[in-house]
Amino acid sequence: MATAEVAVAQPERTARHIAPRVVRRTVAFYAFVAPWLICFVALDIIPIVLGVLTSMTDYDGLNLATVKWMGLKNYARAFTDSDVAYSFGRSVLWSAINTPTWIVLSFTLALILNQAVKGRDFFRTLYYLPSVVPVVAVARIWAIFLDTNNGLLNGILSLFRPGTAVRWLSDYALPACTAISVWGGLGGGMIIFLAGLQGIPQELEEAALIDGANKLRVFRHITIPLMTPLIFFQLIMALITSLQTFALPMIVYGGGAMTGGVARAVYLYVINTYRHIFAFQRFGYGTALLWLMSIVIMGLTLVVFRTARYWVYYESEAAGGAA
Amino acid sequence: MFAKKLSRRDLLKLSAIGAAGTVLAACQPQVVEKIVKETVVVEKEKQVQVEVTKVVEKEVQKEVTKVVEKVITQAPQPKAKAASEVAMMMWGGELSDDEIKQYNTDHAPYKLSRLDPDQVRYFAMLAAGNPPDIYRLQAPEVPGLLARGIPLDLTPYFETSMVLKIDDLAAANNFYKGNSPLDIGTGKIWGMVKDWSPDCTIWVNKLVFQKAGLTPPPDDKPITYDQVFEFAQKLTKKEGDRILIWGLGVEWGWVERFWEVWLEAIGKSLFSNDFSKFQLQGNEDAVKCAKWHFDLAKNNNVQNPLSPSPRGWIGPDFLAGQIAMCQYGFWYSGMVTGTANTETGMEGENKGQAIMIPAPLWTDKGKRISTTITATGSICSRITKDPDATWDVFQWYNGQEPAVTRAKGGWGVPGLKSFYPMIPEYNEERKQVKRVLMEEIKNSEWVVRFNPFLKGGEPAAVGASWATYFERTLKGEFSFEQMIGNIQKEIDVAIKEGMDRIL
Repeated sequence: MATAEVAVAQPERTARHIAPRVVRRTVAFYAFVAPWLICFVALDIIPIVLGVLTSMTDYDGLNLATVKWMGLKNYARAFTDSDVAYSFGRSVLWSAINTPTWIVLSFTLALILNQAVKGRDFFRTLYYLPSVVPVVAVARIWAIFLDTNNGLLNGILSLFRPGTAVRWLSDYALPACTAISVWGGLGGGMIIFLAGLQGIPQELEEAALIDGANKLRVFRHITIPLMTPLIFFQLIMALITSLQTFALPMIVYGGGAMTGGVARAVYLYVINTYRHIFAFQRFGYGTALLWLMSIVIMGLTLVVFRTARYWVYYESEAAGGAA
Repeated sequence: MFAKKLSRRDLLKLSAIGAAGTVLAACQPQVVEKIVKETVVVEKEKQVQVEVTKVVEKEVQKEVTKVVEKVITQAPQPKAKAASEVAMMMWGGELSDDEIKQYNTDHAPYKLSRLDPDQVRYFAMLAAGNPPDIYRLQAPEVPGLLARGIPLDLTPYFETSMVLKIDDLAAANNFYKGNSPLDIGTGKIWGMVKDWSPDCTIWVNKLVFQKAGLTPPPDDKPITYDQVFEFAQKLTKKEGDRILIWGLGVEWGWVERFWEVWLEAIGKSLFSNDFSKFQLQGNEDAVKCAKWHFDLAKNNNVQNPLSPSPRGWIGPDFLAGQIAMCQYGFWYSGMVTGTANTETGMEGENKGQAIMIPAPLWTDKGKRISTTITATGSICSRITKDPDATWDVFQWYNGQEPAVTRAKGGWGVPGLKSFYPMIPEYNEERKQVKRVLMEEIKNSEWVVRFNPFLKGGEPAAVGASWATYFERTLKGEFSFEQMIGNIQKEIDVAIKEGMDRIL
């Protein structure tokens, strides 16, 4: 009987005494997460939902009142649009050239400037400098440098063969634009790699050297593995950025680019999308194209993440494995 | 002292004298009093007169006030201004912070704010139901916006305005008139130009002509486009593969606008009457227009994707003497000759060598058209919160201080005819330009057709299609005919989409 009374009375006491504390904690929790949650919903979830809805309409930027539901027609159209296929191919090629070139060069530069060379700080600053120049200025400087008729490069070549007018930005558009892009981003990549290199414990390298390893073996078996998390990060970021490249060709090719007048070799996916949206007012179709690219980027990122286990070295995992 | 006895006669004399004296004494104050009294009366009369005058004036004033008040109360009263904010999408160079400040002081409680023109932002604001009250645009955009019911009908405001009188509107404003998107030119007024320019006029560098051993074309009569083509070929200067001077400079973003002007000069058009068909492929006249531009590019007589502008666009290249002729219109005079406050102009030995010549003729037999193909101006939003406040800004911007400043600046022809005398002519270059301009204005009344189903303005659909295939055709990837076929296909689809969305 007494046991029963206790059993009945206890939950009442718990509810009376503990509930306010739970409520307070709950309120505090929601109060703290509310700013982020509100921003996340307002600035991410709602635009994403609206973006998906837009991609399934014939919205042209002005016809909100009479907009028509298209279902998946815009997506289906993308698979029959030869310009989409072509520009996607160019973006993949651009990314395939741009990403490894940038990673290799910025890593190499970081390795060089991680050595105790004379004037190291000066060179670090010098190589980083292009990264602080806005992309507009970078693009214009290079456009002037590579100009067919008045460019400095052709001017130098004309000293040896007067009247030289190589069409760098037309006949060599892909390598020329890659050079501009890599040059502009080299400093940023270098700084991140440099930070990583400086985080490698000296004793590991010293131990390897004492054990008889030469510099190349130290680089291959110590430096590279310890740098793989950073290389992985740089790879992911470079892939995403390069597949979304838009501003650089647009500026290099001036006003004509607004209408799709960039060199065909660098007629990238996002430029084609821009043309659909702003020259033909195909906001619905353009948004569908952007969603398709998002899916591709997500897929590629996932693939790279999946491969990470085979080549990215995490000290913590190694330590855990050993234990 | 009184030893002599006073006789009765003496007493009488004395009494008489005394009496007389008394009388006199008695009379004296009366005279003075009389004089004083008379004086006082006069003064009083004067005072009364003044008072009366005052009273009368007061009464008259009262009556007048009553009458005026009566008149005023019987007349329609302007509404009391309520505080309102008006957002205007316009570049800072076209609407300065000082002008905005002045407006906000003079036109309180209305408050004006400015936004940089930005299509993405404009579309987003429209979608959110909160577009800028006044939007900057070019004429090719007007039919498309009208078809979607974006602009506010300003006709009633124009009809009663003492600032923007309908009779005073320059012909370029006809691009903002229309009773339907398919019929632009007359009817309701939806907006007006901030300024305009006969855009087909050509700038000529006399020095380049002289160096090439050629006589510059006359500035008092138009040459033909065939002659322009010929000049462009002769004036192009090469060194090996390098182009040192291009014969002609063309704004490729306006390419289909030029074609439409040329075709309309011979009674043709790129579009069918109802704008449902694009008439390029198979239309000999239209193809000829496209070929004219293409051949110039193929020969490198004009800048093109394979031989681009070293400075990014033709404007500074002409100033530097690297382009012999430049088809850019009157607005460009702001750069060529500079303005009252700027030092810009032709560079080095090219200074003072530029003249403006009339818009060429497509054929000798065609109509002479020297119209604007940009007609940059503004419209008011139909869903503006306070149409009166929006109109107040619109009227001020287009007919008062800012319009005067722009007219005197020389970057465009004013939107009001009465402002034409303000167009600057402070040096010989300016005088030459104005002389040619005033003749061109006589041929500026033509309203070019723009398709409401296609994206107009910059970038525009036809121009975008041209730009996409241009480089590839120049490189030989396509033949010219294939390029025309591709443009035709692409624009056919775009028109159909536009019709589906609008109709």
